[in-house]
Amino acid sequence: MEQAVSLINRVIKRFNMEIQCAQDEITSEKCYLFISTVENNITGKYTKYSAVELEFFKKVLFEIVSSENGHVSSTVCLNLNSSLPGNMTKSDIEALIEKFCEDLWLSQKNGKVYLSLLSIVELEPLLTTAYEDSVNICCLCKHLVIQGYRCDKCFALLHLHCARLYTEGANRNTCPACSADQPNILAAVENTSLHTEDDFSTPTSHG
Amino acid sequence: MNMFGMHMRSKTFFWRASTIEEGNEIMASKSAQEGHLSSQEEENLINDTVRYILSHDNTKYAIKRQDIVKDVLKTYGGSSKYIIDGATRVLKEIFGMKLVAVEQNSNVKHYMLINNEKFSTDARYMKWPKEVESQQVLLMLTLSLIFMKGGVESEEDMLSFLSNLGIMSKNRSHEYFGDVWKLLTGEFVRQMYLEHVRIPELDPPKFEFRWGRRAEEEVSRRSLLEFVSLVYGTDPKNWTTQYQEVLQTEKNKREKEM
Repeated sequence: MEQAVSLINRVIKRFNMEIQCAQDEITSEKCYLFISTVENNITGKYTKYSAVELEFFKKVLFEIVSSENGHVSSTVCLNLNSSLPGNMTKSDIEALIEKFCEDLWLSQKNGKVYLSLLSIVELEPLLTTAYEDSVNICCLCKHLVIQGYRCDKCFALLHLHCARLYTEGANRNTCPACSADQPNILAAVENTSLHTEDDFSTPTSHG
Repeated sequence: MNMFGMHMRSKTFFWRASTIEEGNEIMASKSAQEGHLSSQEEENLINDTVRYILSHDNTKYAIKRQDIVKDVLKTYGGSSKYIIDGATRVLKEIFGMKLVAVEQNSNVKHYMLINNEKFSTDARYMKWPKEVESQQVLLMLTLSLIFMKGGVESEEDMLSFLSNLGIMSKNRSHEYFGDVWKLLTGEFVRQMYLEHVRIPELDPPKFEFRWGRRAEEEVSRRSLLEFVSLVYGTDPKNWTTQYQEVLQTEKNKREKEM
């Protein structure tokens, strides 16, 4: 699988496209994502979403990035309608959130709206430059992290799967960033599964 | 269709238009026309064209050649044929897609992308947006009907066919298929699956449905005939006229590929 992916990436690089492998922040599922490596200047007037819809998405992005827990309540999103141009009702917003979820840019669960893995990976360059001061970078993998484990001493934010690998490897419950004791870290990461390459060598059938 | 003739004509037109502009632009556009693009510039333009086509194709609406020139090629518009040929090659060899040119009239050229490869494994695990599924079903029904009726179907007959199936009802959206009439006369026509044309010289005006260009390229008449035969519990060969048409279409396709 890896070979196929790297061959494809070599060929599509000239089109500013790439297949990246990333782990979901909550489920730790490994996913392959087909992304664009540049902001759409050529595809320009991207016709799938209207200007207002994109404006809404940007606002949700901002809310999530500046939130404490890496997600925002649906109610907050619904209330964004007043700050948008045009006359969008709360039910328009609700439908729009559904649309973004179907298109895999956002996900929604239990009244909370999250950024999908696709958004996190594809928009990482954009988010790290535009929101430089608000975003967190996981000190273990050096990538953007939205949801994860937070050290209560230095407040560093780590990916759950990165923290799990670290605690297993280092064999102790400390924060990799500041070395403070973190007795809760084990409990936080114990449900995080570790995926190895073997899991993806053949597709499993789900019946 | 004289491709070379058309290129000459667009070259001349471009040249005349540019004599009205300043000297510098004439020089730049002339050298681009004569193919004096550096190979790096050429490759960049081809790459940009490919990205443009790939992203615009998700609606399945035709991509106008004019838009490619306006949005991607800009001052290098004179090399459009060369660049688009390059993009066609890339799309076929790297992405397995066929870029098909559709001529509305001699000046306007549209393009559409169709899948050129067969899936070697099941497409079962692919996820489609839910409207796509219902639209595919609706399309298959209407295309089958038109095919079985010899390639043309009047508006009235289409309406009664769909009403009998319980798909069309006045003033109401179907819960699975949505606004059926709007799809048939709007969306599917824009996507070139169907043609909705006025029968000439009839007053009051009457309309009929035919297969669109995209349907011709993408849909297999044979599989539609097999589907219909399955529904009626017959052998496809029993439908002699339609079966003949299947064979003829397949023969034409084979000859075109050679």
